[in-house]
Amino acid sequence: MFDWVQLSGGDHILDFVTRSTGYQLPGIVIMLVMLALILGFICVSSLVLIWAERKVAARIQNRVGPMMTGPRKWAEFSMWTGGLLQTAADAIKLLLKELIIPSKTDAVPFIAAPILIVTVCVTAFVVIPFAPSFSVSDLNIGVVHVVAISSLTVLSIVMAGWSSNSKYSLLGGLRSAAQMLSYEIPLIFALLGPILLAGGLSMQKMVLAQREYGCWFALPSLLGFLIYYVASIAEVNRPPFDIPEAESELVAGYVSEYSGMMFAMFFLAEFANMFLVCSVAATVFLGGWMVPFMAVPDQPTAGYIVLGALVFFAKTSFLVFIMMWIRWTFPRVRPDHLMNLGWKYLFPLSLLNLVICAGVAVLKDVYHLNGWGISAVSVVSLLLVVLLLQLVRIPRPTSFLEQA
Amino acid sequence: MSEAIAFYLLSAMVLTSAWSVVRNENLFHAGLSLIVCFVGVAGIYVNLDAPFLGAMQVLIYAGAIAVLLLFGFMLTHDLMKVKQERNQHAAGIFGALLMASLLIGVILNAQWFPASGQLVKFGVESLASRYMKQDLVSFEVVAVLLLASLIGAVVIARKEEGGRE
Amino acid sequence: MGPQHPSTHGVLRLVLKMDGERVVDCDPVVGYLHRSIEKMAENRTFTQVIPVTDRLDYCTSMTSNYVYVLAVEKLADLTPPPRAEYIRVIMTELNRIASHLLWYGTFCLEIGATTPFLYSFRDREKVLDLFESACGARLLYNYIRIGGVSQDINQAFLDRMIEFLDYWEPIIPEYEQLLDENPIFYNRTVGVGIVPLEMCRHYGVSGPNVRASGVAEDVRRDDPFAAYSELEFDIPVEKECDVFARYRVRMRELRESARILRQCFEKIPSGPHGLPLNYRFKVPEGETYVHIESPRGDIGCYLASSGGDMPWRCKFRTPSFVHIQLFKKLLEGVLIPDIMAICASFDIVLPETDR
Repeated sequence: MFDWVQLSGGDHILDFVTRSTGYQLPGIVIMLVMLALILGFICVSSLVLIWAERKVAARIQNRVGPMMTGPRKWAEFSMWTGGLLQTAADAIKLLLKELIIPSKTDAVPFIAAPILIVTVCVTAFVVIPFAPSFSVSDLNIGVVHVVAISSLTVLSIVMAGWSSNSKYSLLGGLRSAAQMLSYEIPLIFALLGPILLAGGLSMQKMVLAQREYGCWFALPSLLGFLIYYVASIAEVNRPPFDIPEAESELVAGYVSEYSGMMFAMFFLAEFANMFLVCSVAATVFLGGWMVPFMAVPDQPTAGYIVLGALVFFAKTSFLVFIMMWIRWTFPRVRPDHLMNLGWKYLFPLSLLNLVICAGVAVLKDVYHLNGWGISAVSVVSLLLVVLLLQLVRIPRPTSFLEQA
Repeated sequence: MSEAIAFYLLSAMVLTSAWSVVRNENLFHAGLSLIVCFVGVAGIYVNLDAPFLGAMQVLIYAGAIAVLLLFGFMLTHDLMKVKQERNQHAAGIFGALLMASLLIGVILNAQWFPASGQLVKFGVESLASRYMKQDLVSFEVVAVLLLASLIGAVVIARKEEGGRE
Repeated sequence: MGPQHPSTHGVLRLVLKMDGERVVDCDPVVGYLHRSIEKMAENRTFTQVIPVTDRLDYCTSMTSNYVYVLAVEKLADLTPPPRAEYIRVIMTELNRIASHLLWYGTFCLEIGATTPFLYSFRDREKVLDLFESACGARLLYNYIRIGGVSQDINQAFLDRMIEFLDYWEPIIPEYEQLLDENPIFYNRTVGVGIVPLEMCRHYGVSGPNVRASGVAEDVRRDDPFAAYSELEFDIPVEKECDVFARYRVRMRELRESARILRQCFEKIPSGPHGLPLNYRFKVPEGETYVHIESPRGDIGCYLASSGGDMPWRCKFRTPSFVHIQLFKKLLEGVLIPDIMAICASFDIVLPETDR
């Protein structure tokens, strides 16, 4: 039985180069090549995601979005094929702008902040399993690596807030940092459920554990999935949790002093982070690169690898789309409600999720249930949780109910 | 070979940033250097085949504790006007020499490899089984300690705000 | 919070004294949009003042026209023909719909939901198209004249109006769906910005804001003008006095406006659309005060004439001016996001405040 976990993307490249030229590439060259690939992937995916965000927003808001850039014939064909070069145009514009470093700001954190945030993003992408046996390096601490490295984005925001040299944007940056730190807790605890079920931290192992269990981890750990999703929206500072960006309507936000490419770095990092957390969710909760209802073959075939990659992108894109949908639907959450939500609701629920997952794991080990059995048990336990939650329902104002 | 290169690079990073923490005039820059130091130490852990420890170092020290430290700096009024006293050179050199002799003595006399000469590989699983089986009591005690400090922090914060939520 | 900020209140300046995140003291500073409309009115003939009143509250230009014209008619003792009264009701109610839609869009924008803005403006465009077919202008109409209206409306206009209502009334629940059931929304609006009844009385709050505090006070019912005495409509009242209640009152008023418009369609008589008057006519000496119900509240006009063909003194009592005074008391102790929610819920427009 082929051990899908042992290979990584670098191994494939090394193998390919060795087979075609007979030359043994040193490890460091492979490392640099893989890093360049990730950087390229992040840039391209951010470009695509920014375009997709504008189109999704336009569709939800009954408009068409960018249509003027790109081939006109395509734009006339449909809304979804127009304006394809818009993000490229924006990127070129930002590249050509002058990088202004205000004189009163502290230059070290000012310049370090955008660099750090992109570096963090690139580093966290190292463990994402894009395809069967195809992550850059499948560390055996996979999930924890992503979470730990992502916690450094808080630092970047703190540095950006500090270097703006304005008390209000400093407070805005601090508040954003507090938000991100608070929501890391439910994020990590929500991930503990699948870690328990999989018995390990490695990302590829998580995907394969879902094959062992016969069902996606989203089922036994549905609470965990939802909590992880909500917490990750808060981590990425997206609406409805975009207090730092909303503050910029009233006072200068933490990115107010940035111009040109430095601003583009923050923007790029936001979308790349969005892709990152959605891909982690897709891997850990939705089965990663496994094709539904199709068994994983014993030997790696190029066809299955490509199919796996496509399935992975489909799942991640779906989650990213929902994030965009949520952004344009909901109003903004007030900061104290946000803290309330994170500490008083999401955190206890994630502990409850851990208990449920532990129960499911024990049941599997003792009774050797297959996928359907686990699904059944999960559904029952989740119904019980829903009934339990009815006791803590939020009361509604009375006069609201009369009008149809 | 690559481990050696990595070790030297990381050590250089840790040592220079630690020097910057101690000697930098700008307190905020000192805080940032502390973060670089923590990340470098995390790199050393990874180099020593303890990636979990390295990730925890980044998550807890660089990601939370150092950020909290920076919060403290940022909320201090007129940070740049904080004067640093630099007139305790004699005591500093004496303390450093004492510490150095202690450390060198320990390093030279320590048993670095077990008697059998075999390398024992630790991983997350062995760490977890130790926590949950042999060292369970100390694990729980630490958890209770953290809980107590958390509650204490909340109590202190409430009192300072004068009863406001 | 300076006179320029991205929210669409207009040029309101709030000087806020903050303690961390809470507001300790608030001082609204108005006057950035002062154009001396009342002084301009003294140098123009009575008919020439009407375009100037357009700019008094440009979101509900018909209402501003009307309050001034009503004052002139009362002083000059003129009775417009019944068709003109019905046309005035139609225009005022359509303007109420347009204004509430604009309010809804900007209110949601303040709260942070960007999408409802586009939905409400899509439908507001249709109302503005109706106005354009009736009087040629989309925002500043100069339509309600002394003795009637400037041009007649024809059956095609009324048919298009009913078409619009048939299309639009089923959409009102769509506006509410986005927000009503949303915990984020009513965590931000329920219990926020409570204006108890005595505070309303103290400050003279009127319109939907006082109806959200439990009092069924509406100038259309209490002091009927135009053809309102012949029409049947309810007055929506809510008891909670908070931002959510004000939002609910305005959404229900949208439905009531649709109901009034349908009744006008049935009942509108034929006949002349205005009195044949000279362009420059003299109004007998005297003074009067009239008030009508604008979408913002109770707008009043005090008119004094010295017998000539220009007003002697014309003063407008505008609801936004009164409501802004509430902010000093209301905004104490709230967080910054609540400031936006509360300011937006009162539906103030600065041109009306500063005149």
